[in-house]
Order: sequence, then C-alpha cells, then structure tokens
Amino acid sequence: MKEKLFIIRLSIALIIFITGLIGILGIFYPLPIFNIQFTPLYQRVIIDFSIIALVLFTLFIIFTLLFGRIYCSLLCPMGIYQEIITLITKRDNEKQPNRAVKYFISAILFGVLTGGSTLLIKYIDPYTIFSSGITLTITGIITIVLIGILTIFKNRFFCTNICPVGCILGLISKISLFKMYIDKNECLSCSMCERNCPSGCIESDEQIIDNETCIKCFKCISNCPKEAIHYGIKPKEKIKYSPKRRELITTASALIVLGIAIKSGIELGKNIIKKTKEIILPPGSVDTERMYNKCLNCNLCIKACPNKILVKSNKEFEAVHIDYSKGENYCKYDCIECSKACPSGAIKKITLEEKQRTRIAMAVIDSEKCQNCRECINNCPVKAININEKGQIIINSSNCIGCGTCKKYCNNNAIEIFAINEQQRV
Amino acid sequence: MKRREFILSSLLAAGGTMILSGCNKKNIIKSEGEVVKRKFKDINVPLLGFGCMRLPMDGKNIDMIELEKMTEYAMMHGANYFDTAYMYVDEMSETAIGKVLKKYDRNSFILADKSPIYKMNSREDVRKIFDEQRKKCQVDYFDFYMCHNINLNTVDQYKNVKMVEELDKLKQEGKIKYFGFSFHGTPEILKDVVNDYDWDFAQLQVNYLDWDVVKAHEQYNIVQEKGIPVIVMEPLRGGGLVNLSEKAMAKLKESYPKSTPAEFGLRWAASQNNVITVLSGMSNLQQMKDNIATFENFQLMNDDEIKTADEIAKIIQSQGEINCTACKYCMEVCPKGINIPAIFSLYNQYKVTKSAFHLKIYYETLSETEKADKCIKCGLCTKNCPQNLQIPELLATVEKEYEKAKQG
Repeated sequence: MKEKLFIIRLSIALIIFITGLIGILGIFYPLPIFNIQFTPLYQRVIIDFSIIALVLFTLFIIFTLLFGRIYCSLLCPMGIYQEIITLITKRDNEKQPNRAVKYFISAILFGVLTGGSTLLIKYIDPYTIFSSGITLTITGIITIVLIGILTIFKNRFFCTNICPVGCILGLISKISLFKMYIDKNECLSCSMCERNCPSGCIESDEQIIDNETCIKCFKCISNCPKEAIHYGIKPKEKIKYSPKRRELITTASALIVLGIAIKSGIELGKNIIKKTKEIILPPGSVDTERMYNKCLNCNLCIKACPNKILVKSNKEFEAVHIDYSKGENYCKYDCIECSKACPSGAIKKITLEEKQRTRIAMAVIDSEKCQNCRECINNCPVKAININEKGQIIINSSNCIGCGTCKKYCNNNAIEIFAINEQQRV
Repeated sequence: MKRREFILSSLLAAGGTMILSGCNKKNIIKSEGEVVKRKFKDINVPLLGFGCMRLPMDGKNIDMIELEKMTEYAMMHGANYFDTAYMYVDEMSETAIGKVLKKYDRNSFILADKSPIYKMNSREDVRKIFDEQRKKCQVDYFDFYMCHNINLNTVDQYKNVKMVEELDKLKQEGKIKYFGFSFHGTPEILKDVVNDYDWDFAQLQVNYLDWDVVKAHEQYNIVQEKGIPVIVMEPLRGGGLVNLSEKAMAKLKESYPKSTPAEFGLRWAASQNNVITVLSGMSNLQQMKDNIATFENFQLMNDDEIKTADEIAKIIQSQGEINCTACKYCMEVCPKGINIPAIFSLYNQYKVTKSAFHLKIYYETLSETEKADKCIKCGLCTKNCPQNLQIPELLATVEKEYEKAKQG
C-alpha cells in the first residue's frame, strides 16, 4: 500500500489537472476546481464578504492544518505542471535551501493584495499564471516557460522558495497534524529519499524532513527500501522550543514589510488608474478602477462567455473587459456565465435578476442616421426603445442596460454604445 | 496603603465616575433667544428649519465639529426643526444628523425625513428603507415624513409601489407623526397627488424667483385650496438668491440698504400665510447665525417689499442664467459623472460677470471626466431634474461658450 501512495496521489492530481485544463480551455467544466484556489478565494473573502468563499477558504486552511501543504501536489495546476516536467526530465535532486527571502516576497505580494490591488500578485500567483498562460496571454506564457526552465535545473525551487501561496501554506504546514517523518529506528540513511525528493527537504544523514517545504508528494515513502518514512501523526519528541535570534528578526521584519505592503496596496488601489478610459465591463464588476485592481487576468470568464465579447487585458485596459466589436457583438440578456466563472470576485457573483437590472453601458440613437426600421424596438430585451409623439425612435435611458443588442440589429449604424463610469442598478 | 493614599485614590475614582456619567447625560438646552414659531396641528414649529442637504464638508466627509456647533446654536435658539433625506450628502446626512441629535432629548427636536421613491421596487422596500432610516437617525419615530421628490418621472413608481398605503400603516403604528410629500413636478400632477391621501402637509419649492419660473404660485394655490399647509424648500434657490448679480444687488440696496439678499429671500418665503416652516440648507455657523437673527425679530413683508422682489426676479430672469439650484439630483444618475451643477454655476457667473477669462480658468479646474464634452445625451439627468432643465442641451451651450472663450 505504502509504495502505491505516490502513484495514487499522482493519478488524482493528473485527473484534477486535466479536468482543470479542459475547464480553462472552455471545452467542458465538470468541477469548478479553480474556485478552490488559494489566492482567488482569499480575495473573494476580503472583498466580497462571500459566505461560500469564506467557508471554502476555512475548509482549505483546515485541510492544510490537518494534512500539510498537500495542495501543492494535488490541486495546484502549476505544481502538477512542474511535476510532469520532472517526470519527463528525470534529473537527480539535490538539497534545496529554505531561504527567508520568500517570507518577504509573500509579505509584499499578499500585503498589496490585502490592501486592495492584484497588481503584483497576478504575475506570480501559481494559479493565475497557469491559467493565463494556458489561455495564451504573453505574460503568462513567459512566466510558465521561465518556471519550466527553472524546474529542469532546480526542480521545485519555485514552490519552496518563491511561490507566495506555497510560503503561507508552508508556514501552516509547520504545525499541521499529519507530518512526514523518518522512523529513526528503521532508517539506514541510504539517502534514497533525499535523492528523489523534488523539493529537496530531506536530510537523510540526520534523518530530518523539513515539513515546511515538503509538498507531500509521497515520493520518498514509495522509494524507501525499509518503509522507514511515515505520513501521519508524528510521535512526540521532547524538544524545548527556543526561537533563534535570526528567526525572531526575520519574523518581525517580515511583519513590518507586510504592514508597509498593505498600506502601499491601499494607496496603489486608489491612485493607479483614473476613470478616464472608455471601457465597458462585464456586469458585476462595478467600475474600471475596481476591475483593474481585482482582476487576476485568469481569463476564465472569457472562455465562459457564450457570445465571445469579453477580451483579454490589452493596451486599452489591463484587465478583462467587453469589446462589442468582437464575437456576437452584444451581451446576452439571460446569461451570467462570466459572473459564475470568476473565481476571484472581480466580477461579483450576481443573480440573473440582478444582471438584467445592471446597466453596463448606455445606448444612444443618432436620430439623423435612424431610418425608422424598428429592428431595435423588436429586439431590445428590456423594452427600453419606444416611438415618441413625432414618430421618432427614442431610447428610454432609465431602462437601458447597455447590452448592445439594439446596435447589433441596427441596419443603419445609428446606435452607439457608450461606456459609463460606474455600473448602475436600473 | 496609607489612609491618605486611600482617601486620595477613592476621591479620584469618584471624580472619574462622575465625569463619565456626565458624558452620557443629554445636553441641556440653554435658551439664548427664540425664533418665531407657528402653530401646526398640536405642536409649535419654528419658522426656520435646518435643511440637511448642504451640510458643512471637510473634504469628502461631513465636518462633524462644525455641524455640532450649528446644531447646538440652533437648539439654543429654538430652531429645532431638522430636515434630512435618504440621498442627501451621498447618503451620509441621516447618519450625521442622527449622531448629533442623539445628545438631545427626543421631545426637544422635530425630525423630518423622506422616503426615496427611486429606490422602491416593491411595497416591502418602503418599510425596509424606513427602518433603515430610523436606524441611521437613531430615532423610534419621525415627526414629519414624506414621499421624496414626486415629479414627472417618479410619479408612476410612487403609485405602483403603493407607498401611500404602506406609509399610512406606519403612521397608524405611530412611527410617523405627520405624513406629507415633497414635490417637484407640474401643477397637473400635483392636482392628482393632493387627492391621493389626506395629507398633513406638502413640501414645495417656493421663492420669489420660482413664483413664476416653475409656476410655484400655481402649485401653492392648488395645495392651499385643499387646505394643506406648506413647508418651503429652496427659499434661496440653493444660494442662487444669495449671490445676486450686480444689477439685482443694486436694485435691492437701492430700495432696502439694510437688507441682505438671504434675509430678503427668507422673509419673502416666510411671509406666505399658509407656510409652516422655511427650510434653509445652511453650510456653516455664520449662515446659521444670520438666518436665526432674521427669524428672531421676524416681520411679514409689506407690499412695497414684495414689489421689489418681483422686480429683482425680472432682472435675474433677463440675465439668461441657468435655473440650477445645485441639488445634485442629476449627479445621482449621470452615467458619465459630469459635474453638472459646477458647470452651470461657472456658466452663471460668466453670464453675470461676462469674463471669458475666468470661465476658461475655472472650467480647466474641473477634472477631465467632469467636463461637458463627456455628455452622451442619454437624458437621464433631465428626468431627475426638479427644475425640468434640458441639461444635455444646456451642457452643449456651455461647451460652445467655453470653446469661444478659449479662442477669444
């Protein structure tokens, strides 16, 4: 059984990975796996006060508290991607350092996120870069390739020493219930485990496994000739805990960095963008400022949109937005796919009824071009277009939600859809 | 512990407790004078009411220190009528007023609030928002409560939601003492609305300029015929009748050198016999002091003064200013966030001073998104405008004038 643990874990991970992959590509999405990723969930908890997100997030933490950072080898798409690379290259592993730099990286990234801006984390969070890479975004592809190269030479160095999510989960892993440990009575110090460990966290001479950087891949358990490595509740050893001076200084300065990062995140969120840009956003994303600061650019919504009007971040606006010149040219009235797909809360979870009452833009008719064909009146889903006493077609702006249907059906190009500053309830 | 130390510390403790308990006590109102009061049903209402739409501001937030000073001054002079509404000051007004009035005995002030028609999607909303307002104002009941801003666009919603029935229920429950409505529509709608219910009062826009401009006298007559008392809002047109143009000011000074424009306007409104109180949206303590002084030794206007008011109104009308009261109801809906009141105010100053230079400079101080050229002519603002201004067209006019000023 023990030898098979690695294979079982790997197969589950691969199944999850493949389902996730076809999910991102918009082919078939049976499991909303990307709704249980760390960073998006965390953001949903702090900006949306969503109960579902809070429950999922708490479960996530409890899961890690029980089993350690098994997320990294089971759920994280970036982790499994790296694992696949190592399976192909099959290099020998070496001991990896556990440097304190990652605490500062993590403090900065999550501090800024907590302050209210995804500006930094969207280029490094494992889930985000993976999904933006898969959906062919240049920054995502570059980061994925870089990490791929890093993996070939340094194995899971990204996970153990760079990844901000891994850093936090590692800290939780330190006190998790289930741990990896070596049974000192059985161990021969043959270093089989050390050579096979992808995260380089085993010291077979001293029979120590560093549970902070261990990603619980179970490779060592399967490889140990004496079955000396166990995964479970570690028998208590009497060690008097005395924090070293260096640890204390690191902790204190990381906390200070975290505080500064939160503050600068708040400032960044406020000042980074002025609302001058004429950008239409998917219903539920409120305004350009919020969208810019909350969107992780994972592009799940783009794949979900049946009308294909959502576009990736580009020069115009560095987050997902609507471009009515693309796809079907209008936003479907009875559809909230983008809101359902968004894992990070950038597009709020709205009900269909709310969506149908959310104004995302504003249609205006140019009465000189209008030839009174009445196609718009027949097609307007909210019945906002009428004929006035003079026989002219007019838009009742109080009802217009800016879905763009009228523009699509207009034969004379007389209707223009204008972006608005902030989405409103009609 | 020595005896001396014991006595000392127990004295300190007792003193501390006394100070703390003193903090909780309701403010005692010392009377320093009394504004004129008028009898309404079974209470006395001060002729000057504190309108809470233009509260003192400190950046983006309400300046609570100044507001507290103003409230204290008003209470000391018997001006204990406070008029707030859901949407005032970005929905912050009710909370601020609640905080300030908490320190006074509930019987010592009269609080008026309004039900935002545009927020109502169903009958349940009426009660939901009412309870929210009570919470924000920290009171159990409202003395005066109104359907807010019935006009051409809200009248349908006001009928569909059956606000009157629901609010009547609340009145029966004792949570509303007097039930009325505030109105910004046409006389035709008003004729209809006055028959909807046995209204206790009506809140109308009455001042010497609007008496003809928005047919205020017709509205006033309709209400008076029904025997409904009137509360006056916008007696100074949002400050428009305070900052008179040179010509109008000269006319006032020529006839009544001692009068100030504010006093003149307030007295004009208060001189209508069917009026319970005149609301003035005061933004600092000085305005409060001036207005209270006006009403402490209040005298009805005589015929000559009323004639002068008519003449001033004609002068103002001839200047081609825009009749904007800066109520900012348009800003609530403008999808582009154009600063319509600021633009109109600049334009009005330009019309009076004819200084293209100043128009150019001040217009540039508006941020890029607030300018008139961002208008997409969707017309949402027009529907919300209590003065029925054709805002998109006016904005285009201002834009044209500005372009001219830029070149010239």
